[in-house]
Amino acid sequence: MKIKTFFSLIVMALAATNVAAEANDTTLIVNNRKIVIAMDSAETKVSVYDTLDNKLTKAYESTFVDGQQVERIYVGSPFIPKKGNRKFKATLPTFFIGMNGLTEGFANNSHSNLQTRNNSSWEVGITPIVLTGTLTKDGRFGITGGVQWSLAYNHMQNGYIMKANNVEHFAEYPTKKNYMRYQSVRVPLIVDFQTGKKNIFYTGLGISVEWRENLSHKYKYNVDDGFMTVRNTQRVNHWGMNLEYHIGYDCLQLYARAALTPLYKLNDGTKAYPFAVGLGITL
Amino acid sequence: MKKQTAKRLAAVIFSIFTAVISVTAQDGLGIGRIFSKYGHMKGCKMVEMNNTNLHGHSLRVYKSLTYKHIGSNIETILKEDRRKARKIREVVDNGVITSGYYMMPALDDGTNRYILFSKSAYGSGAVIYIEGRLSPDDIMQICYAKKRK
Repeated sequence: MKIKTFFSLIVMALAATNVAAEANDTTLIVNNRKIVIAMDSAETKVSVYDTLDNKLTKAYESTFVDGQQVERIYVGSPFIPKKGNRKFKATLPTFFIGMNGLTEGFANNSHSNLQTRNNSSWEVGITPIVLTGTLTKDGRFGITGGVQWSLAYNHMQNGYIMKANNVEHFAEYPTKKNYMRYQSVRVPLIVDFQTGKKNIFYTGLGISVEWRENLSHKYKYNVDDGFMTVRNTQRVNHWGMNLEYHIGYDCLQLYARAALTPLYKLNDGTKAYPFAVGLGITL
Repeated sequence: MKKQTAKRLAAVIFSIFTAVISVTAQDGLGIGRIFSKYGHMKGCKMVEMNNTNLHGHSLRVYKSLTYKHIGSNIETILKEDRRKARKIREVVDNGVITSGYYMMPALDDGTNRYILFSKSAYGSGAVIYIEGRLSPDDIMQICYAKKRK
C-alpha cells in the first residue's frame, strides 16, 4: 500500500513538472474552468478562465508582486456583446390635450377664409394601444406605433357659420357655441431617439394616418324667443395623413401635428388643414 | 461626583484623541487630498462619520465623496494610493475597472484602512475611506452582499 502511494506521488510530481515545463505556466482544468498559474522572478499570477459561448473568458486574476496582492474580477468582456442593453420605451402619450386649429394650407398660418377661431379650438385624446420596435442595438433609436382616439372641437368666429361647405355670415343674429366637432382614430408611426437611463429624454418625427368620423357643425343663434340650435353635417375627407413630432422627458411630452391632406374643402376652393399642439402624459 | 467628572473628561479626551487620529490617518494618503480639495466643490457631496456602525461593523472613520465630471482627476490621485496598497481588489467590466477597494497598510494600533471606489459614466463616481477593525471579507460583505428587506 505504501509502495503504491509512493509511486503515485512520483507519477503526479512528474506529470506536474511536465505541464509546467512545456508551457512555462501551470494549467489546470477544473469543472470546465481553466486555471493558469504563471510565475517569474518578479510576480506570481493566477488567472481563472470561464467557458462562455464556447470562448474562454477571463473571470478572475490574482497577482502577487512585491508583497502586494492584486485581485481582478472580470464581469464582462469587450469582445462579447453585452446582453440586456437599455430597453426602448414607448413614447406615445396615454392622455393628451391641446389646441387644434384649422389653416388654409400645410405650414400656412392663414385662416381668414375659413373664419375659424383657432385659439379657442382644442382636442383631447387617448392612446389605448402602443407598439414599439428597437432600430439600434443600444436602444437609442426605435419606432413607436399605436392607435389613438381623439375628439376635436374647431370653433368659428362669432357670427360665421358653415352650411353645406359654405361659410356664411350671420350679420343680424349673434351666434353662440359655434363649433365643428369630429372624432378621429389615428395610427401614428414615429421614429424616436432616446437617451438617459432612469428618466428618458426623447424626440421623434413621423407620420400618421387617420379616419375622421361624425363631423358636424353645431351652432346656436339668437332668435326672437331665445337661442336656436342647428346641426349641419359637412362633406369631409374621412381619410387623412399627418406629420407628427414630439419631444418629451420622462412621462411628459409636447407634441405637434400638422395635416398633410385637408379635412374639408369649401365650395370656393379653400381647403382646411388641421394642426394641433399640445401636452401629453404617459402612464 | 468627582468620579463622574473624571469619566466625562476621559470620554471627551478619548473622542478628541480618536478624531485627531482619524484626521491624521488619511492625511498621508491621496484620498485625504481628494476630500480636502473636492469635498466642498459644486456637484460633490461629502459625508463624514466618526465612531459609527455600518451593516453591523463598527467603523472608526467613514468618509465618502460622490462626484460628477471630475473622474479623471480622482483617478490620477487614487493611482498614488494604489501603489501603496497591500491588497487591491478590482472589478473589470467590459475591459474597464468600474469598482473595487484598496487595503492600505494598517495603522500602528492594527486598525485597517480601506479605500473603496466606484466609477460611473461621464466622469462621475464615488470614493469612500473606511477605518476600522474590518477584514477584507467584511468589506466584500458590505459592498456586494444583498440587502436584507
